[in-house]
Amino acid sequence: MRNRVSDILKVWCNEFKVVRADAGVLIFLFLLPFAYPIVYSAIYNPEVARDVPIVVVDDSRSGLTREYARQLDATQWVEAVGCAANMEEARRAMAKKACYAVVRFERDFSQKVGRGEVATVEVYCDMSLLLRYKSVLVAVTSVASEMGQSIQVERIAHLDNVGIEQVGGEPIPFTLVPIGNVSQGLATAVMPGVLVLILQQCLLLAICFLGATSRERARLNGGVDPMEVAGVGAVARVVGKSLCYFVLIILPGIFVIHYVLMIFDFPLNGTVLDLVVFFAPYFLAVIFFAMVVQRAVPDRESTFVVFVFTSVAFVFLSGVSWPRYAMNELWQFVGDCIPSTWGINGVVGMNTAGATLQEQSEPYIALWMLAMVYFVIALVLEKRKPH
Amino acid sequence: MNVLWQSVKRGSVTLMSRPVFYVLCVVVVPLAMTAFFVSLLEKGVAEHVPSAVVDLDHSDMSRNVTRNLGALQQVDIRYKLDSYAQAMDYVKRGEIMGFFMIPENFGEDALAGRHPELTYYINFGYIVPGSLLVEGYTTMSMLANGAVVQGLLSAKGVPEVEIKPVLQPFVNQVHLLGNPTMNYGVYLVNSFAPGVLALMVLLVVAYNITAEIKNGTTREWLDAASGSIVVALVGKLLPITMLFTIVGWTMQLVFYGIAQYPMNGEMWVMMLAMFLLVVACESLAVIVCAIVPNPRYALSVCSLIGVLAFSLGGYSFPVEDMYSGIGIFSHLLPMRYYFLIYVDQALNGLELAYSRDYFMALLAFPLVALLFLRRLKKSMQRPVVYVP
Repeated sequence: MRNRVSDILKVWCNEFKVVRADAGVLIFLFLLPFAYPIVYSAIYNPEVARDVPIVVVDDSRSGLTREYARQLDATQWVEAVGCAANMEEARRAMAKKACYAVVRFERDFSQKVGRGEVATVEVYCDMSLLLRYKSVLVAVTSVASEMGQSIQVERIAHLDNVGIEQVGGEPIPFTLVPIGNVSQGLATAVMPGVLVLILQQCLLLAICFLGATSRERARLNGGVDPMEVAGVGAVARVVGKSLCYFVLIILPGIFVIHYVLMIFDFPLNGTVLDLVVFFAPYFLAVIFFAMVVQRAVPDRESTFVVFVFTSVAFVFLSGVSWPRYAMNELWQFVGDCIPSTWGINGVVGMNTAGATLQEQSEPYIALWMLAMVYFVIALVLEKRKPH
Repeated sequence: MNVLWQSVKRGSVTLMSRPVFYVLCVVVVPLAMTAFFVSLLEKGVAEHVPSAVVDLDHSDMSRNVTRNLGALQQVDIRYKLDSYAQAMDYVKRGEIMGFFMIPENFGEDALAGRHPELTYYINFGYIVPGSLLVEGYTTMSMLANGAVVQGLLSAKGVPEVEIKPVLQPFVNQVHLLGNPTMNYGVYLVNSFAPGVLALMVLLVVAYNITAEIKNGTTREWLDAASGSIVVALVGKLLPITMLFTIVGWTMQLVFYGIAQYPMNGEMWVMMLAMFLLVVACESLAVIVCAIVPNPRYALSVCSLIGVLAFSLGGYSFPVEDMYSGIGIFSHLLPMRYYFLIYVDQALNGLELAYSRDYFMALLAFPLVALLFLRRLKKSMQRPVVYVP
């Protein structure tokens, strides 16, 4: 037993030396996790599309429609950049990307309002980006209801002597309370999850890089890597190395999941203790996962070619973009096997929705299970390695 | 001609010397990711969002609201709960994405004109289901308002009137151009799957070029092209271009043939754009290799460009809304121009002339790469020896 512990310590110390000697690994562990989250968050940080340019086609040419267009322009969501004489002209403006939506008032728009009928506002929206569409939709919906309110009151009063204050405005007002992501923005929705993924990918790249380099050295050296500790068992190698990676990721981890969130004002509703306890199995699962898949990499450089694209796949499997309940069972299962899926959902649950660790026990337990399964596989693979 | 043939032959042999690796990176990864995206998003709309109702009223009217809410496509009422705390607990555990609160005495207050307030709580940590819930809950509130006013008026003895113009004097008729069902697959796969292809082009080309440095075969590579860097590069890139272009076209066949994503323009225009995307990404990789002729750094830079392009390319967040110091870099990405061509041609079916600048931009990448060839040649003649 004592022997085993000293073996583990030997491997552990040795792995620090191996890491320190490898500039590539140092980049993955200490440059990437400090620079990349900042760049990434900064790209999405404006959160929502503001002042989406729109063009107005006013066939009614009345004071009412002019006021309506002014109201649209006054929202933060759209900006009326011009008027077009007809739909053809508006279409050309849209094709040139001078605007992303066209708002058209029909010829008898004002007359319809006068006659007490429904007046229709036609909105033509470019669908290349859902975020722009969302802004346009919010603008036209809110202006339609605001502009409609005074007319509504008049019409109800006209119908009968029902007290206006009884039904005036909205009989049943409704309020939307966003949980966690108050601005309903893209950055706050996506980044807390992406940051958790970035940590996984840094570890994954670094560990695959180390594994491939070790195999390259072994190839040049008659099948034995001279930088490995000789004469220790597979358990000591797997445990010793993983402990080294675990220690190395602590500092970048604290920076990414605490300070980046703070810098960009992303929600930080989880308690520190819960998060620390949660991240322990996350990092272990990721490390053992990486120690399994590192066998797929033939040489250092192919690490990039083989693993970089997985970031895109993993972020989608986690459900931060397309929700997991809408995926088919195959992809739900594949997602279940990746540590980041549980890590992201757990952290989003705690930091964004304000859950406690108890309320996120499902991902927490799943991460421990993944850590164990990948540990066993990594051990088996390590035992089969020729020495 | 003979020299060119020699060079192409050598280029093909380097690919075939690692068949598993290159088939994986050139063919399997892009096509598998295409299949992944298409099947992941096959539903198109993430409707039936798991949610709950907290009914504190238990009147006929509140039960009516609940029933109508359940009938909406966007929403799936999984739970009927009794308190706000209980519902929040479900949100925190991730079982529901939001809930609808009906206050106590809702029915009575509404009919008495006391303006009881309906509240909906939505977890915007997940933005797609969150937006769908807003849509569903808003529709519900409108319907509830209609029912209340109708009830009030008939109680006062006002004859049945058409209620809609009273409640909603203005109605928006929104036309979603090109993607009328707001299919998330259309929106996302058309940009992300080619983005994966572009990433793989960058990486494979950078790997293939810098592998010569690592293996110490740069002079052999140049010699096979009689010392011409142009011939040497053509020999290397011609087979890669062919393979990636065919893979790219297969992807487009999947988008527009199998998945039936909108194709409102000419297919050949998109095929041309795909070919130019491959060439432009190859050129970008050549430029990177000329600037940093080192396997590790060239591949790091290409990875960074290829991955940042998914956000910087403006596939989901508009470039014009990014900080200008950041958004400006989107102009350096071939993927951005392919995306803009896709929007103009396949999605919006515009005349070709509107997209000409984007085609020009894609063509500019190989031209700019020409400026870097001297530097690339020099570093190939005197490679920095590299030991792992």
